[in-house]
Amino acid sequence: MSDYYISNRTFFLSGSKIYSSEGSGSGVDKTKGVEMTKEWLWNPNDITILDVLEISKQVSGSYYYVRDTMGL
Amino acid sequence: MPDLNPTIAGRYINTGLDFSGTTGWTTAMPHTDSTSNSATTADNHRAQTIYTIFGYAGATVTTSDVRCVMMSFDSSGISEAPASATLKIFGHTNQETGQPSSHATNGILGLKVTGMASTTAVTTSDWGDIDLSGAGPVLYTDTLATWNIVGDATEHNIFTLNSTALTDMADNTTFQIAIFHKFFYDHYDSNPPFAHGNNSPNGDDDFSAAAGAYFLSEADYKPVLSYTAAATAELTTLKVLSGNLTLKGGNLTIK
Repeated sequence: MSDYYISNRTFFLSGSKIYSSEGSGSGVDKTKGVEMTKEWLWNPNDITILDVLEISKQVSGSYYYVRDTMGL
Repeated sequence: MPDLNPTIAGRYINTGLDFSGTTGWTTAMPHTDSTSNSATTADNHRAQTIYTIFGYAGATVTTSDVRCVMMSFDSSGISEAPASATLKIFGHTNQETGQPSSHATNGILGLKVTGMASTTAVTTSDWGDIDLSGAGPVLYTDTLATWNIVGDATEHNIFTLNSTALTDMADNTTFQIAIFHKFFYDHYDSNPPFAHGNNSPNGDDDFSAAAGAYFLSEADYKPVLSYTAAATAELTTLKVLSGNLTLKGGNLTIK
């Protein structure tokens, strides 16, 4: 499990939830992270549902975050 | 040629996920009584309003994201099936019609909708109306192999409506249509649309295409339904076998 970078955002685990902040590397301000929710997926952005599955796998170690936490 | 703008147009989205099988596609389909995850007319959704994704994250982990633009026109003034009709839609930002565009599933087309909950708003329950109580989907247009967007030399896209659509324009007081990728139409009842193991149209394990369309917020870019009214029958002969023919006013011209 590790942070995952895609479309100029870094996704990371904080507690039991996945958040994302703009940018990559040490410049990422994780204190201003936005929670990855299903509403976030349905709003316009460059992240597809396939990307969300991969983010879940890379950051939490499991695809099931999408179902258990995002409610998809 | 009369022109009509929609009374409502907006974007619908529905997603599917299956962590232990291949139903990630079929669970997103607009079957009767199904609802969409979201329906909106917000302008920031225009860039991804015609959108189709299906993919495998593993042999038994499947997901999909299907979106369309749906609209309703007031056709109460049309009493006879028009001789012809077209639907003009202005594209927005994204132009993908397939993946790849050379595949048989490439294109964007229009499908019949009846029974939208409102003719002035979009609601998630409209999603199931695409299935036409189990008879759908039914094709309403030709297929456009490319998609123009505002900013290009040709900013719009013109669908030609088929005879089913022309008849419905006259038979119903509202004319409703949803615009999808052809991939969606071709695989509506397929589960899954392709097997795991690099069998997608471009030879990998996913399909992804996005195109955009304007809704109603900008007057110059609203969708336009244009039709040519059916020709009225002309009197070719006039016989008076007996009695009298009296004209009390007006003209009688025989050429």
